[in-house]
Amino acid sequence: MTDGNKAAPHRSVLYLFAAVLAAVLVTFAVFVPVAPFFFDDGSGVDDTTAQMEAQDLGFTPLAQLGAIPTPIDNPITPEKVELGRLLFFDPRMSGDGSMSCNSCHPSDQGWSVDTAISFGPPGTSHWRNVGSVVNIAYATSYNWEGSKKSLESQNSGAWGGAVAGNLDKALGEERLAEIPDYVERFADIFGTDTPLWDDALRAVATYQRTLVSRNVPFDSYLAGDQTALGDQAAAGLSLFTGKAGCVSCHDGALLSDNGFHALGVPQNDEFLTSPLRQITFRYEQWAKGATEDVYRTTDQDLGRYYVTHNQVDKGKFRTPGLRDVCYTKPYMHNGIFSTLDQVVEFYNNGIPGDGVENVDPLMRPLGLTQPEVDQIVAFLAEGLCGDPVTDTAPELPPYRDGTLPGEER
Amino acid sequence: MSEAGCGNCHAIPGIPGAAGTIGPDLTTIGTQASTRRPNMDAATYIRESIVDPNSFIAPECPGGACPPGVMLQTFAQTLNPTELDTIVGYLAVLGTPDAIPLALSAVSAPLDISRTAETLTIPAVPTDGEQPDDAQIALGRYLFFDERLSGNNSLSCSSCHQPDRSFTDGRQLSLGFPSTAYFRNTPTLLNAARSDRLYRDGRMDGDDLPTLVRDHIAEAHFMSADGRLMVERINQVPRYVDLFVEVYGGEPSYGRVLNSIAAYVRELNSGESPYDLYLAGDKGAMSEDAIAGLELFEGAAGCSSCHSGPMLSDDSFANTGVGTDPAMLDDSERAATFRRFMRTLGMPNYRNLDTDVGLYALTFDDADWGSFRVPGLREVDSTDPYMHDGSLATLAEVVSFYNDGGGSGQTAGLPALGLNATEQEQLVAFLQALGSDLPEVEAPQLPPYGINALGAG
Ligand code: HEC
Ligand code: HEC
Repeated sequence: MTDGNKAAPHRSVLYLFAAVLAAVLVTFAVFVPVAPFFFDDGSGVDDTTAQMEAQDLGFTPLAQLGAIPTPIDNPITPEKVELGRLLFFDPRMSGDGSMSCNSCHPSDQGWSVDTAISFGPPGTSHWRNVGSVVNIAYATSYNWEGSKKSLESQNSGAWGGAVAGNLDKALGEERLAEIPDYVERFADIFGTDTPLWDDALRAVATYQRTLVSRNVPFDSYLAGDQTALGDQAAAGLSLFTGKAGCVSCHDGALLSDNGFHALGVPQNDEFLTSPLRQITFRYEQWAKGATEDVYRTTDQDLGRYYVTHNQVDKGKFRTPGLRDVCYTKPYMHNGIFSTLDQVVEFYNNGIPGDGVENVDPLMRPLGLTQPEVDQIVAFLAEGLCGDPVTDTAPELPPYRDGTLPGEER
Repeated sequence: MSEAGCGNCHAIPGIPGAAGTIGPDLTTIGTQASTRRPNMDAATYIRESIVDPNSFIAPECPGGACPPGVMLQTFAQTLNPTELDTIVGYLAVLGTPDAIPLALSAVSAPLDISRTAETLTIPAVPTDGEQPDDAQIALGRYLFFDERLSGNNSLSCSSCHQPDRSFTDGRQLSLGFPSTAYFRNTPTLLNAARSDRLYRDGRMDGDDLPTLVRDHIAEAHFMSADGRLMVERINQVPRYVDLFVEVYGGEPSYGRVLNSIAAYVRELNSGESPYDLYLAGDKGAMSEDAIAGLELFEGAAGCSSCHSGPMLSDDSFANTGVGTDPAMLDDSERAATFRRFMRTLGMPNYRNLDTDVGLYALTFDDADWGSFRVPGLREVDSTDPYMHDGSLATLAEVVSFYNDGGGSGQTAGLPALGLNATEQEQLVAFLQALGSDLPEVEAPQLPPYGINALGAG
């Protein structure tokens, strides 16, 4: 478990914030077709409007999501959200024009494609399960091993990386400069003559920051509506925070400690049978800066180790948040589980896969009965899932020559 | 910097071919260097990065985080202090208003009009004294036809250099990587190894085919492949791994892929044309028209003042006023590709550029504005359409273009020739006698991917 903000927010700040929030909501909800979003009140406090009683001081109380954390140099504005939305859906931001962010993060599949391991551009494969971009504003590091420290820099890799967008940065800027509507929007928002890559990142990151799942039944429950969780889900919540110990890692408003743990999830056999996956597996060792020895010998995704180069981090991955988890199947960094039942079953058995080092001591048989397993699943699938955060593909602006993406030229 | 090979890994404006994507893009290193480490100015930081690359690893490389230990650690030994100073001086101002335009003295040599085609014998392809290696060529041939060398598996070298079209694509302008329409005509690969400079603007060295191949594989407008991913694809083909072991005594690597393809390209050469036979004494090898055309070529029409020597090129550059059809840039994809290209060469005001400036973008010398390499003319009968922009569809159009004294805006000083229709036909007949019987090249059956064990070497 890592540091979270364990201090309870100051009451007066909360009230002030609630007022600001309401005003902002009324003003801007109109412009944004996606989930309502909130501005940072600038207090720097990770606000919560209601909290669960802490049952154990070892974790941050479960809570409703606070204001959207935003970087000081990239405040949220409706115009920027709309530009970012367009860019998120625009395949011209991939090298061969074939893929947008939305290709791998489609909103109707929980903003993450339903395949265990993602595809890449034609002729390539990714090597991991796609992470959802919902609630990404609340993460403190990005990608399964937390390799990126800002959403903006994560997105730069998403547009540029060989197994994602494969877009050259300068080419990306020149393409944007060929789309008059974008040139105008960038000028209005960022004050530049022509679009800049870093500003495109600011915009697309801003759009993602507005994708927030605030209204899951558990939020109403936290706000005092005891009926919001059914009996099964309520029992699951008790197990989640009690006997099953899930909350040791899945805590706070996001239900993630934003920390890194090795669970020892089973290997995905696709790496044994798929040439494309094997190619990317080896490529990623280079791309993530592994030594030649690791490149030649590892048969596992070493996760956090690629960031720290520290043996004790081998096999660790970031704890994912669990809001809207019912929409983001399959699960785990390698997509090895296709249902929540399988996930909870895995925790209950507490048997790590072969060859994984550093397995967390919490990974031990939990002794849950089948009804208890079902209750935890009910908490995850019903209690933590509200109306899905969705968006529809916007109408994209044409190139200067009048053509739209993918149109016969 | 070209000699030190910096461009193999880094993108550096003003350095021909420097479009590497393994290390950080150095386009604006002059402004970034001083921010990398506290209390260290740009020049000191750059110097340290060259002589002791691992003391600080730059944050962002084109493929993601910069991997430590990848930059060669030998520059402290291989560069002398003056060379080091020159490189540091050049880099430290990149991206700042003080950036230095680099003159390519080698390519802007004055025209030598004394040479004529009579000295013609096809030179042997330079081999550095070594015999071409058949197994290496065979491997290079596979790779030449393999689409797995491009980022999205859509293009091989042979997609644009099609063997049955004399290694061109027959299009006015090359297609480029999907969604990047290229802005120049695809030249033939035949006799590439015998050229002094390569590419229409001469930005590549004809003696260094591996770098030419790398440029093709890596460039966003050509094959757009991350080199590391591409090498792992090759590693996934058991037959290839065997061939690399046979040829190089070891596993596939980026350099070995480049060398293999270069070895194959070195084999792509013209055979004897009717013109060669004619010069060797077989007076019946060329038609009477062609013989008359040859006389014009070397005489009244003055073609051989540039198209001289065995390859019918003096390896110089000229602006003949072919120009650029501005309509070329009506296509947004092409305009974006064109502007990015000019931008990566460090071309000032590239966004407002509506003409292909050719050599100028490499030298920034006013005399080179709109100049392109004088192409060799062997096989010219089958490499249509012609000129850097593919604007002339037939040899008759080319001859007529010169007959009119070339295009407007030229600096070559071409006179109108005043040739009559018959004479123009004779010139065309001579040009047609420059084609040889090219051996038929069949696309090889490519070996498939296999399954590897993870972590087994
Ligand atoms: C080829 C499919 C693909 C494309 C295209 C793609 N992504 Fe992703 N995305 C993934 C995969 C797979 C991951 C998980 C990567 C990892 O952890 O190594 C991911 C991870 C992310 C994450 C981090 C999620 C987390 O929980 O840490 C964000 C944010 C993200 N993508 C945003 C984007 C944006 C924005 C774009 C467009 C600029 C984009 N992606 C394009 C496949 C894709
Ligand atoms: C030791 C810390 C820890 C504990 C305890 C823990 N988790 Fe996790 N959880 C993680 C990590 C880390 C991952 C990602 C692992 C991976 O991908 O390899 C994860 C993944 C998940 C996922 C998949 C989410 C997704 O989007 O892929 C679910 C669901 C989940 N946990 C639920 C639970 C439940 C239910 C419990 C209690 C039974 C629990 N976790 C206990 C750390 C923990």
